[in-house]
Amino acid sequence: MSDFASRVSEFLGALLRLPPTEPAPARSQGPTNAAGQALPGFARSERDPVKLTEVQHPDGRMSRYPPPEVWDDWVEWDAKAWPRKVPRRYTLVPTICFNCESACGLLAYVDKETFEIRKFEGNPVHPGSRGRNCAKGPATHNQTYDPERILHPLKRVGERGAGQWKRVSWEEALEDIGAKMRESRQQRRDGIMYHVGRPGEDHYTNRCISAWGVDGHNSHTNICSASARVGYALWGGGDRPSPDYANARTILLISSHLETGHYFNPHAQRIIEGKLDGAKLIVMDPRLSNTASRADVWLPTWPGSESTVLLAVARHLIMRRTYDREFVRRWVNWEQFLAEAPGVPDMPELPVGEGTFEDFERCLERLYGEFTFERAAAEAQVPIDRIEAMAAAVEDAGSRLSAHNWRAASIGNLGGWQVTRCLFLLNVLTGSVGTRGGTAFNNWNKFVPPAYKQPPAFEAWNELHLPHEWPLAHFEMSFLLPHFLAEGRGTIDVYFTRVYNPMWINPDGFMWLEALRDPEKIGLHVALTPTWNETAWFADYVLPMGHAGERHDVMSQETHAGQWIGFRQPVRRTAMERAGKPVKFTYEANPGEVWEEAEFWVELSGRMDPDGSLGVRQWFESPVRPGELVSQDEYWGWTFEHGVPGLPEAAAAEGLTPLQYMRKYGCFEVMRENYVPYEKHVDAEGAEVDAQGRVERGGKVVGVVVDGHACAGFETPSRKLELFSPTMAQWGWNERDYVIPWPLPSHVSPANIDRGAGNMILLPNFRLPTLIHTRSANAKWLYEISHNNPVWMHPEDATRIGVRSGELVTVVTETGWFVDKVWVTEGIKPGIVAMSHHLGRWRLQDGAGGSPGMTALAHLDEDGDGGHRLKLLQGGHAWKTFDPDTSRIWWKDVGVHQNLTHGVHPDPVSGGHCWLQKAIDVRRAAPGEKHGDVFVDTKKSMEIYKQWYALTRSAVDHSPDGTRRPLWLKRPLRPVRASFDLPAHPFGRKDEP
Amino acid sequence: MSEERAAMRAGWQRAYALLGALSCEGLDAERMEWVRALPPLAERLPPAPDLDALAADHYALFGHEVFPFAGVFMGETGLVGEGAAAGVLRAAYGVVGVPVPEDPSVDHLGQGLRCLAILLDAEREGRAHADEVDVRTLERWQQRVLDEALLPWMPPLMAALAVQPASLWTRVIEMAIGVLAQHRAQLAGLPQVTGSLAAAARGVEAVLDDPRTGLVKVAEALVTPIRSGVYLARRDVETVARRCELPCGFGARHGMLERLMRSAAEYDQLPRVLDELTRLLHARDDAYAGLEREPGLGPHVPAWRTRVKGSLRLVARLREAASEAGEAGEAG
Repeated sequence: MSDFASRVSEFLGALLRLPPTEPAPARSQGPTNAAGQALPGFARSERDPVKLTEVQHPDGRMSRYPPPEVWDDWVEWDAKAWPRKVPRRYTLVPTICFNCESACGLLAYVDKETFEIRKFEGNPVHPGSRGRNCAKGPATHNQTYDPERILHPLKRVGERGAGQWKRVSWEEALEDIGAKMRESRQQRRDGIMYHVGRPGEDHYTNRCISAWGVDGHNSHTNICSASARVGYALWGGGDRPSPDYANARTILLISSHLETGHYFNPHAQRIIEGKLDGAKLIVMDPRLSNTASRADVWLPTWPGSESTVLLAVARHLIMRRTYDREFVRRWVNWEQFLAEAPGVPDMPELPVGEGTFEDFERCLERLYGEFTFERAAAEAQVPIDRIEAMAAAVEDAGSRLSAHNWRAASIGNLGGWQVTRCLFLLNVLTGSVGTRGGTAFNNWNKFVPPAYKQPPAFEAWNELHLPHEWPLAHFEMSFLLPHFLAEGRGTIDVYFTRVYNPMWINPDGFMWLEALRDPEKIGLHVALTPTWNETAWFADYVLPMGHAGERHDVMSQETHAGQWIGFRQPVRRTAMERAGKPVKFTYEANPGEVWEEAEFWVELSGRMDPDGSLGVRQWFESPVRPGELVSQDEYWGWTFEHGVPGLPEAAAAEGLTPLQYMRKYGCFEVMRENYVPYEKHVDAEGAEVDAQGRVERGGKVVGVVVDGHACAGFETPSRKLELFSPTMAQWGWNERDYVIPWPLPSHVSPANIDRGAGNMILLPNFRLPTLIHTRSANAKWLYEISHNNPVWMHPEDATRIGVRSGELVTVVTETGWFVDKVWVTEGIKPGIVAMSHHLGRWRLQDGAGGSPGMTALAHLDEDGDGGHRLKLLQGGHAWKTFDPDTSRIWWKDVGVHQNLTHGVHPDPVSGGHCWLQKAIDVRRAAPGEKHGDVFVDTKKSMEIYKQWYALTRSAVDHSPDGTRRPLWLKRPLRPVRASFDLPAHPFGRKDEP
Repeated sequence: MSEERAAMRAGWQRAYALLGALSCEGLDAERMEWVRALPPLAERLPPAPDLDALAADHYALFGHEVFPFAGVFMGETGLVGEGAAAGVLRAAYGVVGVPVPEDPSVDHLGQGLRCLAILLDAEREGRAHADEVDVRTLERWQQRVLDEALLPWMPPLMAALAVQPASLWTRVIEMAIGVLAQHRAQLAGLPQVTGSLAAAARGVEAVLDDPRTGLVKVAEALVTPIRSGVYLARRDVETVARRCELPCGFGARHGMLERLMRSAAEYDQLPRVLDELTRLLHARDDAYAGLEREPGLGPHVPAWRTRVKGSLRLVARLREAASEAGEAGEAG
């Protein structure tokens, strides 16, 4: 017998010695809760799958999905068991994605026996996302079952930042924090601060803060959208755009960031629809983004030149009289312009004539005649034919111009808010405001229900949020908090960071480090976070809060020309309740003891004011159980019953309560279409009409008379679209360059960047579309796709510097330097280097503070005199957990934390951080400079802050009416009118006590 | 029937069921317990076996490198489901009243093994009921499946696997081939060499007689086992490319081989590539020679060796032409 034959005989002999039947398949043992501790298990169903619904919708909705009537008992084959046919039985629970702000619908497949979540797919009935998700949605599963997630409340036991923690109960945490809040509230109304990174909800927390009676809301808006908001608000009151891409003829984007990162899914699918229907896509971006690569016209404009390009297009329309003259005549405040613009500093002599509309048109020609294509091409450094092509497409669009600006140029440049003003001028000239295929304001396409028992406005103004130097800021000057604390503007008693990692995501992170470590400045820091982050490391409490499938929120976004509301819910809890298993608090159903803010705030507020003497507790009591705290079912039951038009009727039609309807579908379409709401008729009978045609009733302006008809109009002081901004004129910015759409010189305009001396622009504010700020580091699928952020560099610059792809460069900024690999590509304009943010996570201790595969182990040296040196000791690497994927980490480079080296650049008008950085030098890394090295001198940080601070125009000097801020402008939380009064002792003034 | 023979049949039946499932579907937790208990398989498990990693290896071998389908080895154009084997297996499934599995295709080795498990089980039942007609019928069908659907292509499959990295999955196929060979050797009558294999294959070198033949046709002929006598996996082509420091790209096997030869021609390296192919063909022929002595397999080997000789002649003619062209080029 050959060796081979004998081996076969051995095999057969062993086989015969085994028991005759195959081992029984492993059966589930009932409910489990594996997240964070083990891989989830799923039970085998006894019945075969149900067929998918197959529907061919005429619009962009999905065509194959599980029919909602069987969501509660859905069986499908286990894809991972393929080719075996193993049926699994799920209850499908809708929720809302939490991985950007577009609030797409998710459908959680929750095992009916174990209550483990198999996957997240799209919710086919969601009006915004229409069943589709980007990569970030399904990755919610990674976050849920992340081996490194925080499962229990933790309290610091050593020094801040020493990394020593002990597990505490929720009760202990609530009592301690509640007591400190009570103590603060008894002493003052600006000692509690809630600092939110990703709100992910529309009113709940703001209501809680109002109920505490403090000015306690702080946000991340000033590192995000502040400048775009100002640009839109000054035009029409709404502070963000809502394009109707699917019906557009021309789509104009000055924000690849948003369409490839933020609103990627709901907007991208509609941009694709528009393009399939023949729309032209124009993108202005110095970087060849995903969106730019699909554009019909890509304009890689030099940063800061965007306004000039846009005004060249405006000039094209004005000179050829191809703009919508009737729309402009009816809806622009041209009469106010003719009355108030003459004599404004720097304004040329205007042919105002008799004050007719034709005179106004001549003024437009006079004003904007200088913006020729040639000038625009020269400033933008792009071929003139691309600007001509853009102008032709805008002209061709008519009322179907969908335009968008959110971050990019507006938040990149000093004066970036004027980019948005100039962009929206094109919407105004084409009459594409709120039209089919045009651009609306967000509040027309977003639905926020009223809060259950709204507390009154508070009597307070927190100087750390909106100081007098930035009266027009949108909104709180949040990224300057450590600088304000350093210069002694105030202190914080109880500081909540909520899904926010300011030390890492904000500029000038080491200033944050210094503030967070100082208990004199921040008395108690509570980090509410689903994941470890650099900021939480310096907190006193780290309280685990849920991901998308682990919390209650309502949310709506302006995804298209309609209105809808989405309901995020804890999917395990809902599945358990469907199965008849009662749950009192969501942490009983969530992984470990992970909770949700919605319940946490109620319980915390109850501890803050146990006997009701502060007047806080009353706002958190149940409407049906007097004296007891409100439950989530009671809160949302009331909201959906009383606050969402049409929902009670839709629910009744299915024999459901409104809450049951929302728990079943996860969303409700409030309005299918909402075009030109400003034209809506307003009943003027009995109302007063002032000289400007504004309709007033009960002391409130409710509309405007246009051509003899009372219409709703816009939410500006004039109720018209304000080409001329009286607000700017009245609040100290009374020059031509500020009162009308006009280019402002950027801090990175060619005059400030000496390329001959090696200066470049660092473009740090784009991101790859799979990134979720801090939280992508807890989503393994996303990090496998993108985990590093090399420096994009044009071949011309690479040749000049003498580097090739993969080699190290040192980028020197105003406050320090960092070292990163270079990626040589023609996808970036010469003279500019670019780096994706949201990458470069680090941790100071092995085994805590971040996962080994997604964060780098770092060492931090401080010289005690402002010098901070971060050195990466080890990059990402595989590690052993219950999840075999963690041992498959194949990458080492997890990026470089560039934001540490960014000086703060607060725009004096919008307050937004102007992200573009002047790279003083970009050179081949010197010997000894290692990948990931960062150095920052925080003394220089304060110098940069003071340089920008000097640009401000304080309300103390310029307020026309003794207020701190124009009353008509938005503020996330509005105090009583009296709190708008200027402070008696403004910070930094001589009479300050 | 003696107890020994009954046990032997039971062993084959269980082996076919297990090996059929493993080759078609891979491992799961249940089968892992079986594998651990079988030393010839268990010794190929990694120290800390991971189902996902083993599934990836399974896919890499059977979904990317060596496709264990009769059609691939025996079909005129080397496609899954092509040739007589699929028909034989369909008929065999029909004999026992079992629906014909089509996913993966019925000519997958694993489906053939399952078919034999079913036939053996049915035969056992027939014996238990003393139904001699059924028993004879079922034995005859086992013989047909073995002689016409499975054993004929085992020599090139085994030779192809021998140059793949040793793994649990190569061992699974080795055991399957061994059981098939032992099973056939115990059945009555001499193994029959199926007609399609026995037929005098059109000499693969004949492609060169057609003036329209280019590298595409040559590559197609060489990667079609029934014509060339060998199964060339992607790894085989890559190995030749690496040795010759030439690119072969990605994609289908014939495309990789064509690109390799094309770039070899471009860089005047065609003789070197052809020398490597010659070496490969000789190695396969040596492997076949070793199998000629294995009972059950031996009768099927000569037909493959004949084809390999044809391939060697084809490569030699190409080599000669390439050398002449090279010399002419140098002279010019």
